[in-house]
Amino acid sequence: MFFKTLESFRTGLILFILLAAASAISLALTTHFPAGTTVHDLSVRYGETRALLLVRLGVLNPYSSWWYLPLLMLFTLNLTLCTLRRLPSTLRAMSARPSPPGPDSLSRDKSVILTVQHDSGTAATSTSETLIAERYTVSSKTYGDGVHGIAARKNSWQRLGAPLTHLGLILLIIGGGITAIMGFRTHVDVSEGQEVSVPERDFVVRLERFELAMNEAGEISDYFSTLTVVEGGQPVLTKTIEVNDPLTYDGINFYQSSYGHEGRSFTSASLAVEALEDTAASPRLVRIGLGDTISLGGDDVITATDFSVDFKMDSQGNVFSASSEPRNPAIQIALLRSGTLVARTWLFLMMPEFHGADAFAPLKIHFMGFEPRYRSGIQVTHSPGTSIVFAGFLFASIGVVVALIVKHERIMILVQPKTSSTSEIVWSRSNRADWRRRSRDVPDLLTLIEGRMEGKECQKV
Amino acid sequence: MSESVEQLIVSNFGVVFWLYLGAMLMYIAYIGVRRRVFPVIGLIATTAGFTLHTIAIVGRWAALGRLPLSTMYEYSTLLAWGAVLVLLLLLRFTREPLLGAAALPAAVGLIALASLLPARREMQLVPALQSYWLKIHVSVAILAEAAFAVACGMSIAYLIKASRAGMQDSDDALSLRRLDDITYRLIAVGYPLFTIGALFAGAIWAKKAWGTFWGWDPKEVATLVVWLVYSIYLHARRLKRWQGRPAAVLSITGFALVIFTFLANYIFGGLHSYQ
Repeated sequence: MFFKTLESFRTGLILFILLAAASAISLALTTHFPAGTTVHDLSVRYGETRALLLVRLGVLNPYSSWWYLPLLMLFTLNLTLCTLRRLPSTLRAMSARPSPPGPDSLSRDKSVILTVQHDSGTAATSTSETLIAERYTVSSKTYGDGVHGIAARKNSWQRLGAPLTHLGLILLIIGGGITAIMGFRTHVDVSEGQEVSVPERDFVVRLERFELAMNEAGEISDYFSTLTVVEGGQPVLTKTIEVNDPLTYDGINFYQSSYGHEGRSFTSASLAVEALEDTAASPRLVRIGLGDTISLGGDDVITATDFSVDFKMDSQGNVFSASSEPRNPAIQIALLRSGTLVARTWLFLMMPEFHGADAFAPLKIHFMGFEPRYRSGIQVTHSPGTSIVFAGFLFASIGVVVALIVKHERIMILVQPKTSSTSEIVWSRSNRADWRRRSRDVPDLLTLIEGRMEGKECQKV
Repeated sequence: MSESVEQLIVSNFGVVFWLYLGAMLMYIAYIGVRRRVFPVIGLIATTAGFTLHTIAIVGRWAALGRLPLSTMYEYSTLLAWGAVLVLLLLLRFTREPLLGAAALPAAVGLIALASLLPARREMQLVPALQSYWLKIHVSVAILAEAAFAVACGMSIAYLIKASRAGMQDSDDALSLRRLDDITYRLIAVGYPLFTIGALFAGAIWAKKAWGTFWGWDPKEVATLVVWLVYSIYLHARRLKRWQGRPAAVLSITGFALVIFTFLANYIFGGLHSYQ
């Protein structure tokens, strides 16, 4: 009973609906609770008890929740069982010869009837021959009183479309499952010269160079990472990857996925130095690199001692970069006079008047801008299910076209005498009425049959 | 491209809109007054609109040096174009002018939608879009959704006709059964295209660009929901209870979700949020 329910078509339909609903709900949930929402965020918003309940309901990652994954698995199981159950009868129906209709078995209302000026034997032979010439599989039977039953079929392999599609989808899910269970996917931010070790493998990958390409308008149009695979201390392979063009080595893929600013480094920064007493003089612009020392004339020199692209300070007073976006760039400048430190302070690009700007009095130093140093965001993946997934795509693609585009034609014909010299061809298609024309129109094949009989007539003369 | 050519293409879209709207009104008039002149003018207007529409798209293509299928504006314009293409093919095969009244509102609506979206063209494609998979993924998906759009029009016509006739099927040229049949044919053509173009080609491209076939990106899931709805449509047809009205409702739901998925770029963000 349980098994019957599990493999039934109706269960499949219900699971289809449930899966659509579950996907839509998950979609709404991921919009409402975007990635990165934590249990803490929830308890702030809803209180602890409700937050716990929500977490148990899987609102934070619905696609791996206790209700989504089992539903997907149940659906896969139903799909597999349903397909397997139908397959034998599908194959039988495909290989068996079509069985001809018996006398009076065709409804005259739903058939096209053609009267021809020939005896039923000639009409039946011509009909069979025409159908065979049109690549139909034909079987016929002669009854008493000159009645002939003819069954014809074409493209019966169309029936394989649905099971092939289902097989493809099952493979897709299995392949995806294998990758989810046995593979991995990690994101690393790599600086130039840095090496990335790969889980489960003996080689490392070094980022040689990261480059941005700009278009004419100065917008970033593309970005590239030159990667070298180093195995046993020896470089074995170098490739420049970009989005849509990954490096694959020993089953591991390296995708260019993003780029960001180096959190604690830059190429060059520009500072404006002005003398507070001398308001008339225009500020002096200097370019400085991290660790560079620049003389301001006299005994004064400045050094760029530190940098953070997204300045944050932890509770111990340690500076860090909260992200790889230039949200709050800050540079630490030290002023030395005759070799002794006079002042050292952070200057903020977006808050020019923030503390420290006056620390260098009688000088005033402004952080004007910086040329960033970038690092490459690389996705490292191992997806052992990939070839199964590709097989799934192939089967399902062929299957869905065969199932829905190829037309499986089944024709039932009775040829019966009308008068002594005329007979009628009662023609019925068992699939739905031809959608293109009015159903009362004479099908093309009947025209061909008439033509063939006319041809015979000529031969006789 | 010079400003004047640009201007021409944009004003061209205005003319296209009025031609489609006029054609639609002609076909609707034909429902009330069965005079041959209405569908004849309708067909002429549709064909003229389609020709201008094609010129505008090709012009934009030439001006941009890439297929115009990367922004929301370009997408809805092409979807409208696809819907009219499907309609013209359908008119040719069925010789049933009443279908124009059912299908053209979709095209008119899509052009109107496009006019609400920014038509800017100086736009740097993000690197993920710089791939030949863009052409395969988007163009096949557009054809599929165009078929769904016309199917949706047929289903709305079905529901209107069914509520008027009290489900008593008429014996005229465009019976409920035939409408249902044409809807099915359209979905049967759209579905494989959607499966292969929107889902599979998208997944293969995602694998190349982002390292995974499926990342539960909002647009991916929304597309999956659309696919599931049409899967339900195709399977449910085998059950008597689901034929006719429920099938029409499913077909309309499917296309409503297509439009929702399209506009969802503004809601969801995610990797597909190209505006």
